[in-house]
Amino acid sequence: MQKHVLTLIVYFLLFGFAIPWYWPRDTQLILFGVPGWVTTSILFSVLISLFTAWNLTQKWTKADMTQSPPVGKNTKSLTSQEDIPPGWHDKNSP
Amino acid sequence: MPDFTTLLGNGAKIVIALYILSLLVIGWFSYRARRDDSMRDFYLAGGGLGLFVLVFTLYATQYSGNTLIGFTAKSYRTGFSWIMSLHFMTAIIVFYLLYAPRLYPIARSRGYITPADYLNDRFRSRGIALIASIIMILGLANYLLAQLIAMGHVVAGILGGDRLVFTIGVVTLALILVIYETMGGMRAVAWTDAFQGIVLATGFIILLVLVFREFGPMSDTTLAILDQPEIRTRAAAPSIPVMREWLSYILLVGIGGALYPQAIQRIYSARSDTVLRRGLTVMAFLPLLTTVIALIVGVMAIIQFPGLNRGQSEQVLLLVFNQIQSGSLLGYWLVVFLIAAVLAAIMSTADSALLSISSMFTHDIYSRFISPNAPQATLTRLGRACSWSLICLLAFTACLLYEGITLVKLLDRKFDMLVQLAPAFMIGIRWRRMQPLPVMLGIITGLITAGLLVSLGYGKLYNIHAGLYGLALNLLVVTGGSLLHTGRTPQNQD
Repeated sequence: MQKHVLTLIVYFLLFGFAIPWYWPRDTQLILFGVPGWVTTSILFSVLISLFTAWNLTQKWTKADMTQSPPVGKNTKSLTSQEDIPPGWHDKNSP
Repeated sequence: MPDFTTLLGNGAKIVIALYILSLLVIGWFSYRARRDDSMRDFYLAGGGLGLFVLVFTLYATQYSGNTLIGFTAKSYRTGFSWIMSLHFMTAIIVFYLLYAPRLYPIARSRGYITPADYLNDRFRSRGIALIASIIMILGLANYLLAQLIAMGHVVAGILGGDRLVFTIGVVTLALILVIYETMGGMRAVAWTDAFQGIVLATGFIILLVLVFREFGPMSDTTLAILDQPEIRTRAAAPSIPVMREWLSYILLVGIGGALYPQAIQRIYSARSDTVLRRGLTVMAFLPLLTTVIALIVGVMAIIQFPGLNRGQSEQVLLLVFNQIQSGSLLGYWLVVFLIAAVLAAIMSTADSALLSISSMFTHDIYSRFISPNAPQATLTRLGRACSWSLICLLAFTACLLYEGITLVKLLDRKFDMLVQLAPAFMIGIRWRRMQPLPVMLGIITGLITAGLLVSLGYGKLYNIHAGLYGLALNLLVVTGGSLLHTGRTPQNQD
């Protein structure tokens, strides 16, 4: 749970700094050919992408996937109310 | 919509026609690759999409013709502050993280086909599933209609002509689209998307190279904008209200885009969790390849083609193409490729929306409420018939809306509606105490709030979208109601 909160805080900060509220409106600073506030905004977007990639590759672990039985020919489609499996609220459900 | 008439010779038109016809060939191969007549095989490609196809089908579905044409025009009008598009497109992948890791294994083990399957299973409420399906069908139908209109305008632009050519364009492309879609279902859509996604991504890279070669370095453009007082605001840091709008866009498009039913079905279709993880990882970087390039092209056009009004600015991509192709034979053929990329972007978005609507109508409404015991093969046939009926209806409507595009804009509240499903998907997947009745009431409250604000003329109130006000109340009802309910029934407090 703490890890999820930490992840949310990091995202909150990254998106917070991707919005250039901390730049003066009339700034004329140019960085890499574009206004400085655009450069920092893109930079934070790259950081968001990197952090997301890290989350997807490192943190999307078995903990999230433990409810995953193998899918085979016997997998049923939920085509009717009768087909609905025993229920989400059972012990084996997430 | 751009007029390409002056740009293209007959050879180029034949090349574009061959490109479109090649989609039918891909559709035929996907039909041959089908395993059975089950809904899972037709609507989810048997759950066997590999990394390459998954990435490009997600990419081609997420980036529509609007990304190339609309974002370039928007960048021209608003300047650098349209960099917000980079953030809201990236936010979509971030919001996937909230529910996709949990949803994927459950969807595989329970055999979900549509997003409403999850809601039906999670909350044991056919009412929630029904209302979610209606929201998704309405939102997507509007989206598909907009893509059909865009197709007609591009064909009218290529061949040159008026309403008749527009109508022929809509009908022809809609016909091609529905033929390959009904031949191979998700497999056909994903394979053609992969082809179209490659064309689109290559088109963006070519466009970037060509504009730098033609218009010079970016710093020249930035300096020129800053030197002219009348357009200097287009390089200025955004004001407080505009920044509120950024935040609103990030939340609205991020949440709504992550809940596109066709995207959720692609999550279901991934061959394995590794494929899905890797696919989303690649997707996290693709906004940098697309929205930033659209921004660069639009901003460069501010200096190259000054003084365009709102209507003329919609043609700014054409002006850029015109300038590029006038230089050399290579430039000419590259522009032909770029026009194919525009068509690819539109068609790949449209086919995914069509397939998704067909699956929701057949599986969520017909199978669940009308004929629960219908065999799979019958449902698949019905799905095909549904695609044909829907495309006929929407193509007819598109032809009527040749000039009445305002109606589409009025209807274009899909994100305001889609975000109301966020609590059920993004919180309900983890929070066991979430109860069906508050979820249903929350969705209804959110929809009514957003609808009321829009109907009163407040599509954005204090630069925040109406849908987000609805979502705030929706969250309040869902969490408050669920906590109250679990407080009354202690046995549920697991």
